[in-house]
Amino acid sequence: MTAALLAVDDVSVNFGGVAALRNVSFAVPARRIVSVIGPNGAGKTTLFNVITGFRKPTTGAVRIDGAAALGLPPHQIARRGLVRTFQKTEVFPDLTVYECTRIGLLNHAQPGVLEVLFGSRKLTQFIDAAKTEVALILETVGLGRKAAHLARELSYGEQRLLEVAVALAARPRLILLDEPSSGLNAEESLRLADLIRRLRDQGMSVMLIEHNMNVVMSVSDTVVVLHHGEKIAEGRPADIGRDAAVVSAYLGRDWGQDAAG
Amino acid sequence: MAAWAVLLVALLSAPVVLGEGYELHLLIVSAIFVMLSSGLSLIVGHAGLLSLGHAAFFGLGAYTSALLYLRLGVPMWGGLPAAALVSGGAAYLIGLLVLKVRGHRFIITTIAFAEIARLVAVNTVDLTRGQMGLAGIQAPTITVPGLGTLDFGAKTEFYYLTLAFAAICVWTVARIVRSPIGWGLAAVRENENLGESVGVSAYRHSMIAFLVGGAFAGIAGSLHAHYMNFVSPDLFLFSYTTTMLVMVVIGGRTTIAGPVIGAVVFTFLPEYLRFVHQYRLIVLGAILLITVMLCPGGFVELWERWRRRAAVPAVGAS
Repeated sequence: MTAALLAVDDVSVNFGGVAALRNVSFAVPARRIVSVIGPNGAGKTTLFNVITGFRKPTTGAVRIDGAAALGLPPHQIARRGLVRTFQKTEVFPDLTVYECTRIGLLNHAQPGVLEVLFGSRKLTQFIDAAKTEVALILETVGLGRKAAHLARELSYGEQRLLEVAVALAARPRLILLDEPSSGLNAEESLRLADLIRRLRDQGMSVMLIEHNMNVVMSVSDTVVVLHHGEKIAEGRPADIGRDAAVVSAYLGRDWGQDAAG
Repeated sequence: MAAWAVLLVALLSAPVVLGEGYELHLLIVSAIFVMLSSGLSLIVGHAGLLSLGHAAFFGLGAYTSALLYLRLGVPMWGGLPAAALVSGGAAYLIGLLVLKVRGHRFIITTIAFAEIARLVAVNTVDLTRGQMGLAGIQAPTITVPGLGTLDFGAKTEFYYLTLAFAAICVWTVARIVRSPIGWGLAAVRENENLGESVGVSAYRHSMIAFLVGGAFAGIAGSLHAHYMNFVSPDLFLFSYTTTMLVMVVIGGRTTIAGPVIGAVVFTFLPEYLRFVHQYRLIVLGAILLITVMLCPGGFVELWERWRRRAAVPAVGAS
């Protein structure tokens, strides 16, 4: 059996005396969409922070392709193919959309100072390829016409898309999206769900923290439910919608009726 | 293109037009400060790291070159690369210590480093003669068999030499900033966490800025020592660092031209403000304050605003 792209093993995080995550384990195989749902404060973003190297867990392990990844700085996690977005939108405010997205490409090439000063064929090719690749990515997320705008001039929804564009430029094998649909209208949410499915079809895995249950239920292969830092359920979307513990902790009784009706 | 040609001709003909007077001296000092401000702009401007110890690398370079010359008889041709190595090496060591944490600790460490370097220069009297400084550091010469000797002790020759080194420094900064390393520097400045999350090592990019900036300051120090023929612990003073910062910030800290313009303006301006005697620093301070408040992008932003207004005349305020 080959190792899963990402394996989270028995991870716990304590803030002072409060347990933000308690013995959470799950795996993300290649080409899968895994959603993490749960009430606010359930530990979803903390989980992302642990996976991507922004926070050290109190105990537990994170493995990428079976190799220990705990304690690596975020840029090393990115280098291994795991790239995240943030809950609170993060962009490079004073750069253009084009320049922002280009930064993601640095995940595959870090030329040295001498190479930059005197040039090399590899560097020239990288810079030429960057132009087309950025244009392609901006088309994919629907920001093609905004390439020359400063990031801070974009609307909130556009900034969220830009964040995805920057992450895609890093060519992740697993992209971790933290509430990507927050602040998007219904139509934009649909387009997002469509984009997420297309990413999987291109061979990418996606981890999704999401409150919009329409998006979660329509795109996920697996849903992981967190409640008070514990994993209370994991399964296919349809099964999760019927799980009594999940319904009482998060979805609410109305959800079951909706699903039944 | 035409503007560049005019600039080039102006720079090359300066000694002919100005003669070997005080203005040429100020141009040489300007060129030395161009190396300092361009290097510092990589750190403070492009990487967005407030370093308040840049004078330390300047002083370290000056003393390295001076001591090599006076104690071992090494001319500037050996002293200058040595100064770049020593200052760059010192930047690397400090970077190892503090670039992983950054923030306040970084700023304070850079100030402390400059102060420690100054105290070493003051107190190792046997080596540096302390406050008295070291005199007699001669400018270099080049002897070409059959053609004669070029003596850089003359202002005109030294001007061309300094101009060449300043040009190399500005070219290097421009190459770096416009390369993928520059994209990474912008990422560190604009949003470090986001950069890290897509594979941009903030540490690596900060280190490149710090190392190159430190090495340039070392080169500037070496040239300064051999031009003034004298070094003293004053080179490490905080006021040198603030002068460099003013040049970078008021010039335009994320631009290539800004720190160059800043270096020239703030070398000449204080000289022409001498008539206001003791109010000189107040006037300078006021210029700094007004620029930062009204035009944080410095001279370059001011120029671009003016050009845009000239290009689109008479549009009402939106």
